[in-house]
Amino acid sequence: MSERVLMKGNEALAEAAIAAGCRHFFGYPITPQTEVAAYMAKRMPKVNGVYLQAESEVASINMVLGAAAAGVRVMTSTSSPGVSLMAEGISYIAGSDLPMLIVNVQRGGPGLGGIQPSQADYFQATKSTGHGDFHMIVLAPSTVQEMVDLVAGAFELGDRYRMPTMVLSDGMLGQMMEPVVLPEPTGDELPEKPWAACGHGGEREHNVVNSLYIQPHDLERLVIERYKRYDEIKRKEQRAEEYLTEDAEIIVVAYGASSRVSRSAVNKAREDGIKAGLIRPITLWPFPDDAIGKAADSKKTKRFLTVEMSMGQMVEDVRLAVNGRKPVEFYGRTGGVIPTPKEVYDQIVKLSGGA
Amino acid sequence: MRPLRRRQDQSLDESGLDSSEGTETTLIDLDIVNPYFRSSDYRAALEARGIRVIGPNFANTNADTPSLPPAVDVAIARYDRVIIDAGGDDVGATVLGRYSESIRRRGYEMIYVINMYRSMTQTPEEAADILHGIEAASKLKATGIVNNSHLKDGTDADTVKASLDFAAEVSRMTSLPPALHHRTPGGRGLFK
Repeated sequence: MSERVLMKGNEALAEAAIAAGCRHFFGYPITPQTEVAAYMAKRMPKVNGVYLQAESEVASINMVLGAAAAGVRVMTSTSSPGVSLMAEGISYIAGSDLPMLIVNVQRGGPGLGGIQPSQADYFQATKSTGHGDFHMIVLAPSTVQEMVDLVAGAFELGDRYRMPTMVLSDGMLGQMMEPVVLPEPTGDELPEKPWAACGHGGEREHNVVNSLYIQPHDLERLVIERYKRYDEIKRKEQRAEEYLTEDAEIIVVAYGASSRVSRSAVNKAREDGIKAGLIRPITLWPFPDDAIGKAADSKKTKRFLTVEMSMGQMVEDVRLAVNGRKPVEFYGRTGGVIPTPKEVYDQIVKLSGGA
Repeated sequence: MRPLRRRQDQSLDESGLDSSEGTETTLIDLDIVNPYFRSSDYRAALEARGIRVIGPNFANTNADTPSLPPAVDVAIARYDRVIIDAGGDDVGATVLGRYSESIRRRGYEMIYVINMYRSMTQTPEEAADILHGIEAASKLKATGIVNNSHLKDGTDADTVKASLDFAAEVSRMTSLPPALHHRTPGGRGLFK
């Protein structure tokens, strides 16, 4: 068999989850993520796993909660409107300090929106996935291979910090095919979860998994403890790719699908003698403030250009990280429209003082 | 980066698919499961070559649903040369079953396109297994194999050569003749 295989992003992500030891998938079909569920439906029985199509996204996320509470590696996948439906369950999972993986293959919104690729769920993923004080770790791949590579890490981060993680994909990355190298399957050495409610045969105290705390001081203490963990994550887990940034005067900031377009635009600008570079956030939460801040401190950097498939969401985090040190401009397309390299290139030329 | 439009035109040119020599060609898009990347997306380019395209009702509109237009029945029963683009597995082929009787009545060739670099068909056994699922779902029997083993832009002559034994074994296991092999980019190809 070939080392490299040709896979759709959605399929690759599902196979990577299985390789990472995930044996429980609960979900509901929605374009453009349905291949994740369809792939799991075929593969899970072959690895003695569980695939269950629930009656709705609300049901599936609560099944995920139950499986996560029992300590198994579990995931779900959906697309934008589906995440809205799952919001309550995700908040309960965060409030119960449970690790699980949720995949959002974004489509245009709001409402039913469309089925074409979008990045308009950035706010939802990084700031308001549900009610209450909480965060998820959010990872943003930009290639099918990176989909594969980030999935195992997403499970590991979730287990380490006992919190939900999200892979924020989009219709373009989910549907496109690229050659990938799949990882070796994880053995049975998944981390111990001594807190799991998984039965104990009367040999220890009951473990209780819960997100309800009637006494406000108890709840406050727990939320503060959780935020200390978040601070540690912000210090240790920020990730970003820097491309041609060393001498760059104009730095494009883009993630996922729009970073692919932006990279082409940066390359074209370089060919034309414009010193452009790209910072590609890989973790959207924690946001890579350090990489952006370092670029903002550089005397060479004149401006930032944030490119998104939305009306401008991540640009707010870029502005917070830049903190007024340099101008931050924005270019975006929305509703399922993908910006072209030429459009981004034109923006770079304009910011460089060209025609 | 080559524009998508140019690649698409080149692919259509190389396919030789047109309505020349007095034979009217109709392409029926029965890939109703996944609304991404289907023949209906290329309707304009196909029609410019004189190819009639019949796709799902309201494809690429707000009312895009997995529904089947009545024109499919008419095309299968009456039109000259009819090509049906079905989905790539047993789920995608299920819709073919709806038309199996009329397809059998007019006579057909059903080509099974294989790619040993796809994760679910890396061995001849897996490829043969999926074919059995497609035949059961479509209620039709395949008549030939196309070896379309490739890694997209990562394809070279060795990529294709390495798949020849695989294709031969699938052919042996399924008793289906190999129709042709994938053409290497820019090369004269490995067509049989």
